[in-house]
Amino acid sequence: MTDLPALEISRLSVGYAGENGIIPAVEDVSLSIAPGEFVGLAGESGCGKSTIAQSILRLLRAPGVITGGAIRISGNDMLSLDDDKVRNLRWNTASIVLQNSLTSLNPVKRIGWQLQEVLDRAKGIETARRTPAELLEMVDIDPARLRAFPHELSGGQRQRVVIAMALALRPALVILDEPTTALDVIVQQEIFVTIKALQKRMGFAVLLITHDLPLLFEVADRIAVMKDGKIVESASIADFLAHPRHPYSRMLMDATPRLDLSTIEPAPTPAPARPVLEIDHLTKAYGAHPWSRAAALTAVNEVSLRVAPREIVAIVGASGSGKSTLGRMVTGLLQPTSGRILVDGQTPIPVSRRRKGQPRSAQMVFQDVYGSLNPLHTIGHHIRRAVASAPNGIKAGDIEKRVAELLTEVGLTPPASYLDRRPHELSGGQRQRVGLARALAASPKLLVADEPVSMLDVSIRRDILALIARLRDEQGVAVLYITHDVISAGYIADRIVVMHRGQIVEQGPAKAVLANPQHDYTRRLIAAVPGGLAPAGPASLQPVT
Amino acid sequence: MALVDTFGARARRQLLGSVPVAIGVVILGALIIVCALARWLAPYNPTRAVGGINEPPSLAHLFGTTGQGQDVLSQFLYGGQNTLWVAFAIAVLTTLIALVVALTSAYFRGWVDDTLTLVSNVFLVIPGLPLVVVLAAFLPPGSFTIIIVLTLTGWAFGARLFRSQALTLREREFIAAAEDVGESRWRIVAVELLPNMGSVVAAYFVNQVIFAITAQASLEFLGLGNGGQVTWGTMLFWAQNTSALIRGAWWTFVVPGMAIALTAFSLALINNAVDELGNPRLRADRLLRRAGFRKPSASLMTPVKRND
Repeated sequence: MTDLPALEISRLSVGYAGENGIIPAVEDVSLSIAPGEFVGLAGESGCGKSTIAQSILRLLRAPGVITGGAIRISGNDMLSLDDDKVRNLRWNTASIVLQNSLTSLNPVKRIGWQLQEVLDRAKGIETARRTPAELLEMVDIDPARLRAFPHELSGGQRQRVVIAMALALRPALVILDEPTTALDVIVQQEIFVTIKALQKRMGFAVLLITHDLPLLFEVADRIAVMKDGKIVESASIADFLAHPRHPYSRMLMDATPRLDLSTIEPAPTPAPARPVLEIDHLTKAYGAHPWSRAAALTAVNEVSLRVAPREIVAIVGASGSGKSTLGRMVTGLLQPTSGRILVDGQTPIPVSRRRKGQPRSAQMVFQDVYGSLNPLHTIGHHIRRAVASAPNGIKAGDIEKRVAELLTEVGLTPPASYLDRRPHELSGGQRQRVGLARALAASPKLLVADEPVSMLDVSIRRDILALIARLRDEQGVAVLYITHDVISAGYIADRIVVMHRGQIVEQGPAKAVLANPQHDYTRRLIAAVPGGLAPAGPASLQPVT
Repeated sequence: MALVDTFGARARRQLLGSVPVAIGVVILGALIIVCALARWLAPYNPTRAVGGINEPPSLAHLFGTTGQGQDVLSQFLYGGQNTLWVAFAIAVLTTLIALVVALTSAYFRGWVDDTLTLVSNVFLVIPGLPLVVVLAAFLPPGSFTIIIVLTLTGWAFGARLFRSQALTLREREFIAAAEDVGESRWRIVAVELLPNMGSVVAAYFVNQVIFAITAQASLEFLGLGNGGQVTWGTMLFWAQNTSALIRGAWWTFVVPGMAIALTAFSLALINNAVDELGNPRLRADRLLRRAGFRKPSASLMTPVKRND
């Protein structure tokens, strides 16, 4: 039994049924994982890596169809066994951890109950003698939390519970489908330390699906790179790092941002001009009690900040640190509880009282490239509306000219070919360019970019960041770059502001902060970045046990 | 308009692409056309006694005659006219009222939203049919009474449906983006929000037509309509009153009954496809069936295509 590979995929093809027959998504993919091996499957969005992950346990949803090849888990042929046998193999022999732990856990059942449900599937085998409490202990959660509901746990804890479930019946293979993409780097690091330790002890094999190459280099033994439904290269991590063979792998490696902190330039002396953004003692509290006035949650707590003209300031923090709330208050999408904001010397007008033609000195660039454009309207419509409502009124005849100008500025050329397209006809990167053009329509003094690249592929991220930097140079616009990604902050920003639990814990020139962090939280944040800031080396993330 | 452009191609393909929907469209279309041409197609005046009492179908009277000697075919054609326009009028009115209430809620929020939600909840908990009977009994009988009564009692569910949809859409980032570039609120509601609700509104509208036809027929069957006016509902009323069932004059109630059932059936078929527009899961299942796979079981199991 043990000499059989934990997973053997040979010549697998998967497609999606469409109006005109089955459209292939994965073609002729072969991959084998030895027992106890940690293999990473990397690739950009749409390359078919998640399709493979879900096909292995035959969990791919309609209209997905497996069109050929074979999948064997510890020798069991997943494609020809009858449905009951396949169901039996799930959890017992192989299990999967999905990205969104909120949807994998049932919100109305206590987690102890849900763990027991999985244990009950063992049907009298010796592993059934484990208890939910033991499982929680295994993933470093206090067993006293057995009676908690999923919403009472943090995102990282929920994902640990899901991992405990996946490991409950001691499967030979665990598939991790982007398990930490929605989590912060510090939490991500802790989770992978746990997984590596458990793997060492229990000896299961892991297939990790991710777009994050540096993470793979730290945790995996072997890497397979996918592009357009095919595996283009498969090699051990050491080999891959030494010389990636396929041009696409090399392109991915080059696009993965790495910081060079060897040369620390002196901090640019701030221009004596009036700051474009002044924030004083800004506080945003939610759920304030009507009598005691005690807030249930203080998202932003007494924050003060200055941004000079033409300066790029990165606000770095984990999710829940209040960085997005801060950005939304600066643009007027949210109203502060107390404190003062001045953008270009004026308090931002709340969106509900905003009228056509009023100055809009701060404009927002949104994170969700899929949700921030109305799917029913053309690109031309989006930009035209933003131009038409811009301050210091524009003549009706000049609108088209200005729209074309904006699209050219953000690199969507020739503009005419984009005007009549709808968002779904554009790639993620192009959509974010439209978002930038829309924000620039009012000639703002300040762009608030809320995680503008976090939903984009690595190879496009750098282009968009470079575009933002270029817009700063050409248009003289200051940028408030909100991100959880320390590396991109170091790449683009002049100054870094670190936020933690609603407060600023550290700020200073970007490279100085990264090279020599003062606050304990900043140090942890930087240490948790996969690959680190130093040149990436394999196996630096080993369990300390 | 943008809505027609994007929705158009996909909607046409999906609405007319499947066999059940095509059947639904053909049945409904045929019913509407023959009823609209009643003046030229109907052989007799539907209110006059033109034959014997309860004559079975014959060449002179294709669908037979009623207990008062009227021609059933002519009644079916003219009655269809009255029934269908009233039903569509009710559907249009309830959908419009529901939309106005829901969008006003989403637009103003705060106390306006609270009040409107309260009002629609009140209308939802009022037991429908008893209220309808009481109202219809007090107002002068006729088409307009039925329209008013069924509109008053029929809009509340739609208002809640649309409100929840509008509030979900409100949280999408493109709405925040439109606010950020300074669009006015009513424009955000009308141009950014409303078109994205198309499939829900369409599905609700089709459902409302079904509701209106059956509710209207029930009222008239109970004698709360205008007995002098020919509709499918009053045909049933008179069939009951003249003891057609006991006398075995099946043609007098089967014809209007089948007409009502066929209309509702064809609309239900159309509704399936409209549902699919707003629900990708239904669409995925259809595509899978089309590719030649049946859904094997309730639990998820990706099908495998075997070439050999």
